[in-house]
Amino acid sequence: MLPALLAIVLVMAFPLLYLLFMSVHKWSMVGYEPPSFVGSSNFVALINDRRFIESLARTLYFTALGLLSNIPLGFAIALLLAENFPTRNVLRALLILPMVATPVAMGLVWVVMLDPSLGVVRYLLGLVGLDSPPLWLSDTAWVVPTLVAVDAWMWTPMVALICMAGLAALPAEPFEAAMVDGASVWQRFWYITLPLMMPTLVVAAMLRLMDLLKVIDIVYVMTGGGPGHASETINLYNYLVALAYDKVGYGASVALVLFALVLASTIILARLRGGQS
Amino acid sequence: MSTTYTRRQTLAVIAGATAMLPQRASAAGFDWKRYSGTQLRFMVSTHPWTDWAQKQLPGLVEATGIKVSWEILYEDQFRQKLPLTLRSDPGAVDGFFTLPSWDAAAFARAKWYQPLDQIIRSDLTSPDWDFSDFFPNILKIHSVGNEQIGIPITIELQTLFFNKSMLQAKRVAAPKTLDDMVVAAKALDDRKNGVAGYVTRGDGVQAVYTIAPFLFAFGGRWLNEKGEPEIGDKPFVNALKFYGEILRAAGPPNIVGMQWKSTYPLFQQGRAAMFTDATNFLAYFKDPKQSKIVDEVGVAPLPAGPSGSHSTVISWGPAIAASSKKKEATWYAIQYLTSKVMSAASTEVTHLPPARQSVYTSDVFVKSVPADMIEATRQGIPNAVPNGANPLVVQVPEVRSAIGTAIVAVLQGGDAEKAANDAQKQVLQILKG
Repeated sequence: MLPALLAIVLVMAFPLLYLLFMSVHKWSMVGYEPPSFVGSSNFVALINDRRFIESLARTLYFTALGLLSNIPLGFAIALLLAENFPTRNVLRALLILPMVATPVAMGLVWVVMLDPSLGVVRYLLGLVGLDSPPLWLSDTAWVVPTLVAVDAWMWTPMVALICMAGLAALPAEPFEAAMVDGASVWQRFWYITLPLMMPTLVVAAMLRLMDLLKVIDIVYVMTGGGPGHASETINLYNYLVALAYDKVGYGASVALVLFALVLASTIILARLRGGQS
Repeated sequence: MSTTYTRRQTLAVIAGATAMLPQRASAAGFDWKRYSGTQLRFMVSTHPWTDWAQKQLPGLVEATGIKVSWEILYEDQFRQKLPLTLRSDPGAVDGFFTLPSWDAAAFARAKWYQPLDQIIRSDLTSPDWDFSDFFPNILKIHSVGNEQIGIPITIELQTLFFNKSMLQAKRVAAPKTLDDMVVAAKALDDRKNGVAGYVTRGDGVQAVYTIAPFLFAFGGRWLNEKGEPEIGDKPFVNALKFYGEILRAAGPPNIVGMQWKSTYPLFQQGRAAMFTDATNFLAYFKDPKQSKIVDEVGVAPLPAGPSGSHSTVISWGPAIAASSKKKEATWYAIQYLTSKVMSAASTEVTHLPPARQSVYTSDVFVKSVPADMIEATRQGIPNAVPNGANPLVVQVPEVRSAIGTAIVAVLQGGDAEKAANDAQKQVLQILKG
């Protein structure tokens, strides 16, 4: 028991405490001055840091768009694949392909595909009469929805897989009873499938929520946070501040805010799940 | 890229370099084996020269008896690991690769560079090594406060590339002035067929590099003598207006946010008529495996503004860590790898413009690149601003981000004066810490 506790403290608590320690220091890797204690001033500075506030708001927007697209779409795919039809197994195999590829490689592939001069997306849209599509990654209004779409392409299959497992575990009796009572397909979905699936959907939302709040890989690869800072998420800002701008202490305070945000959101969803079950 | 040297001849040059160094030196009484048996550690980033140098290490052992552990890291990783190692474990790294336009202010302040002037003048330097052979303007890149801190390897100049047949078709000459350039870019722009008149970087942080020559052409500079930013001044506002106007009128539709990895393929695939960036890109345009314009590439000096044509020039090179306990042996290794013979051998492999004048004017380089490139760089080098790629400050990445925000704002149609003033305020704030 004690060794396990010790391992948990070392692995989980120590990095967090060290992060806290760094966040109350002015800390630079370039060695002209040693770390100096600055108290809460890094956190106070965050309030006046417009780039931080904007990246925080953008991350919440990114997360909201991500959840609103991933969960309904993943659930719909799971419902579709729960039906029996000839190519079901092939589709299930194809479904997981985007998920197993590395996000960096997929991000680069999408950059090429979305290029307005050389990309295939413009060509395909041209075939159906859309000759002037948006400048996906160069337009400040479109860049976040475009990144969310690429993220959804990669991770909706995971939501679908979770939902498929949830659907397979549902008891048959309520559905049989509803059929005997003459309930329609829509009524069976609304009054039986959806409520019974709610705990599963909350778990899927919780997992996606944590990933979406921390998103950095596809943003870094596809836009680097640009144009300007129009797609800079809080995790990317954190990386830039701490490692590129060499403000390790300030970066630690950004990281702590992100940690608190992820923790709070997860607790809320976990409570929601408790309520559901 | 055409060359008169075969692979076998190249290997012979390198083998010759290895064999000749100790012999020549011993003739001059220079003892290359003085630090034989010393083990060194170099930390370098990926670069054609560092890849080439790694292959020369067996020759180094043979010539000097010095063994080097050559740690090559990707640039991002290198930028994080090197400062961490220099700070947390003094003495662990003896030599490192440095790009002074990025590192010099921070590294000099941290006292991580070993001053080299005394070493170069001492008996630790072979008479054959010939310090005066380096381009004087390129040596300045690797100096801080008139003290040499590194040895330049190659010259990375910015220049104008143009598609000869596109210019001929529209009867447009390669522009010599900024006004000509705007007219030419607009005339060459053919959006209906997906061809941009002109392309360069549109990503804010990266575009600081490509806007710099226009700042200098309008008579500006990044910092004044006191190290204060001059980003809110008229020359930078003019540079922003020029950059915004030409790229909005004749740039690709997705110019905002375009990094170099997206811009050069447009020119390479015949989708842009003019392109400005580093001379290094010539290799991509001359590669028949990936380029559609191998025989169409023209090179010219950057067009002149009211204050003339001033490119930027940067250069990577090796430096000695001030904390090294084996500085003399480290200098021997650097000296070996940067000698005239080895510089010729590396140029033969990398095709990058060399920092040594004797190699620059030799057949090895002259015959490996087109004549117009030689002429453009010959004209560009004396007037280029050493380390002009960005303000030389400790906080380069953060300052580049602030200036880049202004560039993006103007590319999106924003007011240049307001963007420049906002950037000036931000940079002042960053420099204050």
